Amino acid sequence: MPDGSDAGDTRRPHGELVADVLAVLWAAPEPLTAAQVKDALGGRLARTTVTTILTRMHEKGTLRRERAGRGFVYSPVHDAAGLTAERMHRELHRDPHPGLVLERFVSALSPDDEQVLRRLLRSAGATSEEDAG
Amino acid sequence: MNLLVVLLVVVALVWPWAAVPAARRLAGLLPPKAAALTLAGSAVLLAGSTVWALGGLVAGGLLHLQLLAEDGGVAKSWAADGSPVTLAVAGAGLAVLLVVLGLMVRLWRRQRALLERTWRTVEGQPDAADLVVVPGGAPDAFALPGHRGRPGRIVVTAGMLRGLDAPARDVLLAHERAHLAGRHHLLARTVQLASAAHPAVRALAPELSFQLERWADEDAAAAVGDRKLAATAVARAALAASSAQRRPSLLPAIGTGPVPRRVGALLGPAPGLPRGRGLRAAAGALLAVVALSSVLSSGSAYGLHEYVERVQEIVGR
Repeated sequence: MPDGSDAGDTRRPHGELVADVLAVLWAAPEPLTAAQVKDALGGRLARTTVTTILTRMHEKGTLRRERAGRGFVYSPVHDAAGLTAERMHRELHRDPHPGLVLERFVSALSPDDEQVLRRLLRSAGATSEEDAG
Repeated sequence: MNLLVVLLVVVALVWPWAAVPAARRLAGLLPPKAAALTLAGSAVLLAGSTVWALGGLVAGGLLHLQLLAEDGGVAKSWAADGSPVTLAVAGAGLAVLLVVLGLMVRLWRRQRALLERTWRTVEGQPDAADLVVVPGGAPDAFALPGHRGRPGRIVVTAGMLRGLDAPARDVLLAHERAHLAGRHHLLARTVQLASAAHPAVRALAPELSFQLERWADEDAAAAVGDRKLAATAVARAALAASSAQRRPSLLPAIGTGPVPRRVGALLGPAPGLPRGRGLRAAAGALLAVVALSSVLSSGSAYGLHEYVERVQEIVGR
């Protein structure tokens, strides 16, 4: 790991850190600075590590970089006319064979399931904003 | 072919209907990884027994045909006695065997086609290391197994990433990485293929897919060091996905689905091997029920052996 030695988090492979950075940028509503990415990752990484990862991803064409003040802000590159979640969903469900689908993180919920889940969340002491809304 | 052999073969072919519920019960007593391996092993064993029993019938028929073709007077007349039944049974066995084989090949091709189509679909998406992000609001996430030398990827939609906070995203990524690292898709594909051999085995596939999710959930919980955090992440993701694509008419409304069971399990005590003599005895008994299928199907091999001996005896006389 050439640039991971100064990272506070040495338990995790470099690839996972890079993936985390991309996830943070996609989850954010607007472009982020290196410092904001570092904070969003919970301060697990040194600032220099985050900057190196961001620069590499920009060079690779995964991120767009714009000048903001004295530094840069980063956001994920995406083709507006390209693949979307909705199109992917349609594409992957073309095969009508039941059971022959990729295992998803979460499967569909019945109305019963939703109630049970909300109850479980409440009992876990995790009263969330989604529940109120 | 004597009556006992035919009876054994019939019992061997019917047995999976008894063995599959036993395998599911057994899986319920075990921690997720052991449960998944037990289910996959049971499916392979039951499918193998079915094919073996059918193969025994076909082999018996072939032996019989050879006997009929030979010029030995006594052997031929003895063989000719039971000819119509033996040959009809062998013919039926062969037909079923061919159907099973055909179904397996077709299923295998469809599995490959789905993988290839998924890879083609997500190709060229913004990626970083093992993560591929698909733009769009519909929350979705899955582990895409490696294919043609490309290592496996985690495919997540932007909608899913936005619906989760940073710790929950960690759980999601750890969960999908557990699927890839454990090569869970191989177990899933194997059980799907085994389902083609016997209709009873089909009931193992949903149970396996549940245990694979549990396995990945527990691995993710271990990775983030917090089972309650893992539970809330799974619950939040499911609720986000469910409110985004409401199609109530398509959803089964009865009973509790797999997601609440997963969340409940994560909120409960960490899984372990069954404790106490009673539970262990129950697990042993259930294992015996599953394993008995291989004994029964080997009955056809035993019968074949008897048959050959009998023929040798007659011919040698």
